[in-house]
Amino acid sequence: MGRIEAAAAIGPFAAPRRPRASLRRAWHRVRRVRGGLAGSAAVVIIVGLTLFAPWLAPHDPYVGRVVDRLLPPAWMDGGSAAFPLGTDQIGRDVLSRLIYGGRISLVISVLAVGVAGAVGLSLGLFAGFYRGWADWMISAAVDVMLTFPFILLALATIAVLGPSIRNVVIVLGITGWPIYTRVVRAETVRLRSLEFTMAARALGATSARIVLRHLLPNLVNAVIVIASLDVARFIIVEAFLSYLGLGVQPPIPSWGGMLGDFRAFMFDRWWLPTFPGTAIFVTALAVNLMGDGLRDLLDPQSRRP
Amino acid sequence: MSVNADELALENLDRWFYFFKKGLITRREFFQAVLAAGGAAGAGVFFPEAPLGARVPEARAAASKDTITLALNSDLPTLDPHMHILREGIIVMYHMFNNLGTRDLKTMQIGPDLATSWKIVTPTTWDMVLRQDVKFHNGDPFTAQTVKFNYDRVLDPAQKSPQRGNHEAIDHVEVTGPSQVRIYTKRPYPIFVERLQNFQMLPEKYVKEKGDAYVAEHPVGTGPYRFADWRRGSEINAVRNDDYWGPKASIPHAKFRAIPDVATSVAELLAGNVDIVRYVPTDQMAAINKSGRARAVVQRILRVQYIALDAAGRSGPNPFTDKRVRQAANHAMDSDTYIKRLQPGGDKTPAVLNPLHFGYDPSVPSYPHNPDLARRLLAEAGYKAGFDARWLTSNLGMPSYQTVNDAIGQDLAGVGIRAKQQYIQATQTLVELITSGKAGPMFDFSWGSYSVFDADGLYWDCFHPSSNLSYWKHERFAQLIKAARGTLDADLRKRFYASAQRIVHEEAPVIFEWGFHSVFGVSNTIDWTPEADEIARLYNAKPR
Amino acid sequence: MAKLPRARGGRGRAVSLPARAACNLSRALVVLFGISLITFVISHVIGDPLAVLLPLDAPQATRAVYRHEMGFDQPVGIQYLRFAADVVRGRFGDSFLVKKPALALITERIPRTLLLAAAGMGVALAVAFPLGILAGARRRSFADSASIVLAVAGAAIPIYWLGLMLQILLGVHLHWLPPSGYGSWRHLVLPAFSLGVFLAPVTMRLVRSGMIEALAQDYVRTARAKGMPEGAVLLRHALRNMLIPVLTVLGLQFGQLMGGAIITETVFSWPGVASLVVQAIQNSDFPVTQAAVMTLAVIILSVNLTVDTLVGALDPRTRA
Repeated sequence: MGRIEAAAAIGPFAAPRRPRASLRRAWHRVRRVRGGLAGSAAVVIIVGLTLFAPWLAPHDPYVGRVVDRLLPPAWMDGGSAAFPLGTDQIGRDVLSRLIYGGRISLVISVLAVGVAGAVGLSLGLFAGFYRGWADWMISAAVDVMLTFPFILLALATIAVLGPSIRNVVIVLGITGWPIYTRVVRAETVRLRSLEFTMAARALGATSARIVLRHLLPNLVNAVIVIASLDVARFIIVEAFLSYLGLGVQPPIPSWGGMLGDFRAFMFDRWWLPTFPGTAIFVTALAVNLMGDGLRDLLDPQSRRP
Repeated sequence: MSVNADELALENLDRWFYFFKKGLITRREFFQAVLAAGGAAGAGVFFPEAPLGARVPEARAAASKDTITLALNSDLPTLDPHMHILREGIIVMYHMFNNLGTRDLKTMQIGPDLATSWKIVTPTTWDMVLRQDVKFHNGDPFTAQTVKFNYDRVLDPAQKSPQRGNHEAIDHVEVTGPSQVRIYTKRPYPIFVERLQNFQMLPEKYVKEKGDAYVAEHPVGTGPYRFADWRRGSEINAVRNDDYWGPKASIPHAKFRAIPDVATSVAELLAGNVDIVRYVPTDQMAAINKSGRARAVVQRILRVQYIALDAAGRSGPNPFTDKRVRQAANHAMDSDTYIKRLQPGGDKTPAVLNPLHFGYDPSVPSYPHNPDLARRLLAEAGYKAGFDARWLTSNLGMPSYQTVNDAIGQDLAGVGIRAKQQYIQATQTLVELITSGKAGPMFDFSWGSYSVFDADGLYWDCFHPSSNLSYWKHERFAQLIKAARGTLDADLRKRFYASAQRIVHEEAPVIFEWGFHSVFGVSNTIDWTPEADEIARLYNAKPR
Repeated sequence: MAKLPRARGGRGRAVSLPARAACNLSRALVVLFGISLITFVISHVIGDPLAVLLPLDAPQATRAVYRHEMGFDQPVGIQYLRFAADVVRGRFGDSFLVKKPALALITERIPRTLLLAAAGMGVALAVAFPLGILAGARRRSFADSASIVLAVAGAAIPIYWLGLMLQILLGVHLHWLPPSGYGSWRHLVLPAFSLGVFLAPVTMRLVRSGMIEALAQDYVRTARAKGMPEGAVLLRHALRNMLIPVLTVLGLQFGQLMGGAIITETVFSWPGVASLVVQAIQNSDFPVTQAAVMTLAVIILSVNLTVDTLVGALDPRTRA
C-alpha cells in the first residue's frame, strides 16, 4: 500500500496482527491514548444526550409561540429561565432544537458512514482479492468519483431526488465510498501477497475462508478508523447541505439548518448562530479525538517514543 | 412642452369609449382600456406619494457623494434591453435608456418620456409625437426612424427577443414625420400605453454597425446615466450623462453590484459600500436601523402570496378536495400574529385579492384563528388522526418567508395537517410543476398581477378553470368573473366581484396569506424612497 | 492518482518514468470518459431543457420542432456520442441563459477561481506547515493537542459563518477590508483566508503525520546520536521526505477545493466559476454545467498528473 495513502489518512499499518491480541498489551496502549479517551468520553456523552432527547429537552422542538420569538439566552437581559439558550424566530426553544438536531445530524452521519463503508469495503475487497478486470473497473470508478467535485454531484443528485433525510444519506453514501474502496483494496492486495495467505491456501482453505478469517479482521480495523473520522466529516458536510437548503428540510431541526437560518443574525443576535456552530465543532472534535485514539489503539506502529 | 399624464389617459379613454359605442371594438378590449386607465388611478390613492427626495438647498448639499450603489441579486445576462426578462435588468436599463412613456409616480399614470403625446386614430392605429433634440450617448439623434427600428427589431422572429410576446399585438410602424410615427396594431390594443413604460430605445446605426454581440456588452442609450464599464459577474458602472435632456442626476456615478448573498449585501450596506439593498429580511431591519449608517424602509406592493390547495384533484386524490379540510386549514392559520410579528406589515387578503385591486370588497371576512374548530372539521371530514401532505415551498419574495412557513407549518401540524416542506430552489422549476399539474396537494404561490390593479388581473389568470395555474374548478365563480370582465359598468363589476369573493371565501381553494410589503435597506447618505412600481430609480436619489 | 500502488511491472520491478507517465495518462483519459458519462447522465435527468429554452406557453408544435432541432428526440446513446464528439472539440453550445458560448463563460471565470484557490492554498500552507511541523516534532505535548483542536476547528467552522464574521468585524466595524467584491488585492484577503482555514486541517494532519513518520526513521536517530542539533535534524532530513506525501495530497485536495470555492464565492461575491456552476445547475443550464464539469475535470486531472510525475521523479524508492 502506498506510503502516501497511509500518511494521508490513517498512519502506516504494520504486518497484520493475529485476530486476538493479548489484553494486557491492549490496556497499555489504551493508557497512552488520553486524547482518545477524552474524545470517546465526550462522544458517549453527546450520543447519550441526543439519545435521551425526549427526556432531556425542556420543550418540544417543533412547537413555539410566536409571541416568545427571539428571546435571548437566560443569562442575558430579557431572557427567561424557561428557555435556557433563548428562542428562535417562531418561538421554539433553541436548546431543545439543538438536542434533537444533534440526534438527526448524528443519525444521518452514522447511517451514511455505514452505507459508504459497507459499499466501499465490499468493492475494495472484491477488487483487491480478485484483481484483473474487476479491479480495473472498480479502480477507474474510484478515480472518477474522486475527481468529480463532490458538491456538484450532491447538488445534482438532490436536484433529481429532492431534499430529504433519506436522500442526504444517499448522497453522502454515494460520494463517500471511494476512499474506503481505495484503502481496502490496497490493503487487500498487500495482505493477499503475504505469507500467511499463501500458507492458508496451501493448507486448502477456500477463498471465502481466507477472506473471512484472515483478511476481514485487518480490513475492518482500517475501515473503523476511516469511518470514525468520516462521521465527523459527514456531520460537517450535512451541515453544509442543510445550509444550502438541500439537506434536512424545515421544520426538522438540524445543526446545519439552524446555522444557515441564524446566519443573518450575526449582526445583532450573535449567540444564535454560535450555538449550533459550537455544537458542530465540539462534536466533530470529540469524534476526531476518538478516531485518532482508535487508530493509535489498533495500529501498534504509530506509537512513538 | 409639458403634457399631463392624466390628460393623456383620459383623452384616450374617451376615444376607446367612442369606438366601443360604434361597435368597432369588443367589450373585452374596451374593458382592458378602462383597466389600463383607471386601475392605476386607484392605486394612486393607496400608494403614498413617492417624494423625489427632500429638496436639499444647494448650500447644504452633502460633501461630494461620488457614487451611488445598488445591490443586485445576480449579474445580468446581457445589457441589450430587448434580450432579457429580468426585473433587475429593467432597473439597470432604466438608468441608461429611456422608454417611450414612463410612469408618473404621483399619479401612477403613464406619462411622456421619449414620446411626448399619443392618441388613438382608429381602434387599430395610434399616432405618436416624439421629443425633439434628444441625442444618444454616442451623439446619434433620436428620431421617428429610431422608434420604427426598435419595434421592428423586437418583433423580428429572427431576433428571438424574449420580449416579443409583450409587443406582438403591434403590426408595423410607419414614419409620418421627423418626429412622428403611426403605429398599426393587429387588433385593438388598449394596454398599448402601459407597455410604453417598459420598452427601451436603441440607436439604429450603432446596432447595425456593431452587431448584437457588441451591443449586448456596450449599451448606448439616451438615459440619465451612460454606460462606463461592465466587470462581468461583478459590477456594472455608469457615469452621469451631463447632456441629458431631462433633469440631471445628482450623483455623478452609479454602480450596480452583483451580490448574491443577502447577509453579505446587508454587511456591505452597513459598511457603507452599498447604498440600496432590495429584499432585506424582516429580522435584520432592527440591526440596520440601529447601525446609524442605514435605515430600513417598507414599501407596499401589489404582490399577493397564498398557499394553493389541490381542490380539483389535479395531482390526484387528496384530502383537500373536501371543502371542510380546506376550511380547517384556514382556521389553523394565525395570520394576524404572523403579520404583526413576522412581517413588516401586510394587507390581509381574505379572498386572495389585495386591497389595491379594483373590485376588492372589504366586507369579506377572514377565517378566524380557531384550532378547535379546525380539528372538528377535519374529524367530520374523516381525518380525525390528521394526514400528511407534501408542501412545495420556494422563495417568492415575501420577507422572511422561511420563518413564516415554519410558523404556518407548526400551526397546521397543531391541528393534524402534517405538511412536509420541500424546498424548490429555482422558481422556474416550481412553475413548471404547477402548470403541468404535478404541484399538489399544497404549494406556495405569489402573483403580482403584472401590475394590473384590477381583480381580473388575478382572478382570471389564477383561478379560472381554463388556466393551467388553477387547481380549482368552480362553475359559478367562473361565470361571475367572465361576466365581470365583459362589462364596463363599474358598479355591476363590483357586485360580480363581491359575489365571486364570497365564493372564494366560502370554498377556500387556498390557504389565504396576505399582500406583503417589501423591505429596502437604504444608506443614510442618500435621500431616496422605494418606488411603488418596484423599479429603483437611482437618478432620483439625492445626497444627504 | 498516486493512491494506487506504484506501477510495478512483473514481480515488483520499478517501472521507468516515461512508462509510468503513459500509464497515468491513459488512466486519466479513462477517468475523463467516466466523468463525461456522469455529466451527460446528470444533465439529462435534471429538468427539461425545453422548459428553460422556450416560454412556458409555447405550443406543442413549437416544442416538437425545437426538440428535433436540438436532437433531443434521438436515442440516448446517439445523444451521448454527439455530446462526446462535441466535448472533444470544445463545443458545448451556448448557455441557455446568457446566449454566449458556454465554454467562453467558463474560461472567463476560471482564472478568478484559480486565483482564489491558489491564494487559499497559500494561506492553508502557511498555517498548516508550522503547525504540522510543531505538532509532529513534539508529539503528545500541548502544542500537538492544540494543533489538533485547531485542525478540527478549521474543518468544523463553516466558511459561511466565518466569512460573515470576518466581513462584519473587519469590514463593517473596523473598515480595514471590503466585505465582498472583486478587483484589488484587498478583495482577495478575506475570501482567501476563509478558504485557507477550510483547507488547512487536512494539510496540517498530513504534515504532522509525515513529520512523525520521518522523524522515526533510523537515519534521524543516527543524526541525533551524532549530536546534530534538533533544528537541523528537522530541516535536513524530516522535511525533505515529508514533501512527497504533502505534494500528493495537495494535488488531491484540488478537487476538494470546489466545495469550498462555491461557498466562498457566494459569500464574498467573488465572480468565479464555482458560483456560475451552482447557478447553472439550479437553472437547468446544461451547456454551462457540462462545460464547467469537464473543464474542471481536465484541470484537476492535469494537476494530479503533474503531481504524480513530480512525485515519481522525487521519490527515491521508485527509481530503478
